[in-house]
Amino acid sequence: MSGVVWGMVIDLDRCTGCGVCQSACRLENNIPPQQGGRDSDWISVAREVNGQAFPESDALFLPKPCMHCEHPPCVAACPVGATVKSGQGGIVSQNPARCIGCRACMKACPYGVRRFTWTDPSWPRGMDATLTPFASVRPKGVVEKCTFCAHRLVLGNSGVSGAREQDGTGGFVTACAQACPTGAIEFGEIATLLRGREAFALLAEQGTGPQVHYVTRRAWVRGGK
Amino acid sequence: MGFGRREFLGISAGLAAGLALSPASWRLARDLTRQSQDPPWLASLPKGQLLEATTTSLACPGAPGITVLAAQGRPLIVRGNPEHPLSRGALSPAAQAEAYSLYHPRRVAGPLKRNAAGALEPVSWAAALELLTERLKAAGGGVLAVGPAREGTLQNLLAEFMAGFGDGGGPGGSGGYLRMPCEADTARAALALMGGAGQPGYDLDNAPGLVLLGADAFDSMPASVHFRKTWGQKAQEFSCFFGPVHGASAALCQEWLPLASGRESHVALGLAWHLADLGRLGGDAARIPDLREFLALVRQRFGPAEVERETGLPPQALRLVAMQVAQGALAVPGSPAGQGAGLAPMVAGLALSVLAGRVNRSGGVYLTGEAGERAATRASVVGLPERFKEIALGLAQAPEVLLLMETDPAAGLPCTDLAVRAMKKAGFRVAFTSVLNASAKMCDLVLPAPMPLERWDDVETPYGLAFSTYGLARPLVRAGADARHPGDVLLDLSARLGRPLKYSSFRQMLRERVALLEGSGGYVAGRVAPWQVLAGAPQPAPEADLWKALSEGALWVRPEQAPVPALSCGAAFLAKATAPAAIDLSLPLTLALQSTQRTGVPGMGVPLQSLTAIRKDEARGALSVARMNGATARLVRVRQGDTVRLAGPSGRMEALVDLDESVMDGHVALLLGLGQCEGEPGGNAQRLTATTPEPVSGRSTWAACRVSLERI
Repeated sequence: MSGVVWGMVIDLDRCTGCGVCQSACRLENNIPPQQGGRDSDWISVAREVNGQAFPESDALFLPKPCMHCEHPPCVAACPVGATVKSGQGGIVSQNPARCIGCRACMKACPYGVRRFTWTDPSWPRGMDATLTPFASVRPKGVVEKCTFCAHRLVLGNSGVSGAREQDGTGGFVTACAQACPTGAIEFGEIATLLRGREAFALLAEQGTGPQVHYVTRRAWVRGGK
Repeated sequence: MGFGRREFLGISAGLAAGLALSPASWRLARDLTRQSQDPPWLASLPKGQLLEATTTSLACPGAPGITVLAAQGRPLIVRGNPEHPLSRGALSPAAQAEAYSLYHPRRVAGPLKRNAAGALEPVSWAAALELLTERLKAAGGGVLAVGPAREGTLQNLLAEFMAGFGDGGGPGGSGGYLRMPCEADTARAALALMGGAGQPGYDLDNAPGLVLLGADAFDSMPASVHFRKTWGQKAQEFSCFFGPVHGASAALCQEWLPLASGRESHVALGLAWHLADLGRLGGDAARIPDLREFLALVRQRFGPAEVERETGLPPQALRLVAMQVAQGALAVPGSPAGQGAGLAPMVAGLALSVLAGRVNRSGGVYLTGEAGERAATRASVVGLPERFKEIALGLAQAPEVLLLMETDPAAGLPCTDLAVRAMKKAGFRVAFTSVLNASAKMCDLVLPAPMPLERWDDVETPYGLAFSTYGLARPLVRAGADARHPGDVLLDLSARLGRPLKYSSFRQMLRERVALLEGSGGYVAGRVAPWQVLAGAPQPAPEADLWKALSEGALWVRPEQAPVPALSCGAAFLAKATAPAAIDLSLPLTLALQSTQRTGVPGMGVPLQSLTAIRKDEARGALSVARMNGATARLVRVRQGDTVRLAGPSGRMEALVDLDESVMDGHVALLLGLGQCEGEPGGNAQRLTATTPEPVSGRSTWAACRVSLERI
């Protein structure tokens, strides 16, 4: 699968804001239930509105994971190499063991998708028995973020990776895309996903080359990004 | 002897060499590195081989297929089963929570009994059952049981158990068997009123278009996991949502047509007018027994001008929707909160399908038969909200013993304060539950039930599906508490009361149920989906070993294409039920209650890992967020961020104001399912609701309650 660049296409007209992607991600990647009321989700679902008063108003839900940029500003900002652009399909990895918690990457990221662990993770008594072996438990004082469920890429089509038959050899699918009830989140080789679709990226003018793209029929969304 | 530079360098070199050669220093460095990378105070990850098992979700009302990953005999995570015909890998938060909810913080560890000081204290199963048997014997016919809304063998068993206490549910009686209110019961009652039988289901899979007449098909409706999967692939088809709030169901539709709460019948009948005017009645419309009366009703009272006056919807918009219905778009009636709307919107919505000739036709409304006996048919005709209201107000006798079977009426019923008052009047309260919810906290005896992944159970046709389904949930782990299956407890109690039932265990009941299904015309869904059979594909042969297939997570389905007796349009009922009702002008706003699967299932509270999916425009801290648009806020003189007190006819709550132009004029939107337990976000919006009897049917309705609002 050399030369493959993984990415996502999110159909905003199909997202109902059900939050299943968020909880699937939390469970897969051992994100504790709550972290002092601060944002801890690796994928957020925000409600976007067109700014018009009723009845001209319109709204949609915008899922936002790490964009796994082609030119990630976070990588350049990290002083210790804790976040790197991987050769494995262009995934921007995050190594919490190496992270010194300076948060330079958070400042550099224009999308606000990186999370700082303000406290040591804790689960209600006994619930840590349901931690998965797919992601290490991160201590306080480090930055974490969406990894495109890279552990599934490592596991391959071994059953527990969540890969489907159509993903082919070496293919995989992220936890959020797998759980999405409407199929709004599609994951795969980005060039294939984008073929024949009029997609757009968030903050494209920043030149970071995000690998997460969006499609919608709503002109006000496309115009505003 | 002096200590010069040469000696210093020599000792330093010696020390360095010693450190480099000593294993202790390297061990220390390794330990420090390990500690920094994997601190010992952090939870450790599971080791060992990962195993997969498939089953059916018991916690989710949509009964999706799930794959459970386990290590060292412990379930770790629940994922969607891509092979399951309904959900095809999709999930709901309730299903996702099945693994980690085994360690629910409020889990009941063993039987609890209220002591003389009023506190719940542990008691043995033997003592608990002895006490309950004594109270049941002493109560005679004064035993009232409340079962959950979903169908299944446990509910049938509870109905059978309660039948042994005689007809205590009749007028004036204090006993009987009642169910938590749900849209499925309303739909079945509507169908019965129109001369049909069974449960209406909607064939979205084959429908070329969709008109949601208030129905929350893509969120709180039980079949929504399947519906979202289906309609997500058909986003290019025509679809529109009528309702007061642009929420999840509107998000998946092409158009949102704002409609005030409680006006769903007007739109359905207005569409019927346009359908008749277009001359696009179904080919078999002549068979409709009350066609003439129905058409006279819509022509007389639901013409374009009348409907526009009542709903604010322009006739052109309705005309376009009616044309889509004429071309095959499927009309799904319902309520955004999934309950409380009364029979009229359901009858009017179903009448539209009858008029368009879309009943038991591919892409239309199907009358699903029963996968077996249905507990709903044995429930008291008097609904639970009415009965509790009568008990609370002293108009009906309180039961001697109140049995709560995995339900939480103290948090989930409308007019919550009255429900709590009614429960307090019961002589002895018993809860069968796995977590200590608001109702269980009020009980005198709490009997712990196993969690979903710890028990055998079954799930039947989630409301909304166009075909009958039956799935089995199997235990994958031993119970983490001293819990007994409520079904086995009921069988034990029956024997102790001297009228044993014919089953040795609940599992045997399930086996007999499955054996009955084997000869009832269905099959195990696999390569041929049930909606393909509805569209004309040949039905596959039945499975040889149904029990084995179902216990491994397969789904039994029965698509039915049998001709049904001609349904009426309920004209006589609609003529009276849609008459103008009185409005309390002292309460200026209409409550637009929203329901979502993100808040979990009643009685369990919000799933812990879904708490962050409760957005800041839905709850902040212990306060719910009251959403209204700018014009409405100006009308009631509040601003963004104000703390306000909302008051309904029988209850009040505090909330934060959030200006949101997705809510139509005159409405205030609140999310249901919050604040049901201590420490949960938001407040319980059911406290604001009040039930009123629907004209003619007498059923309790609470879908469009009026509320007042003041800044505090």
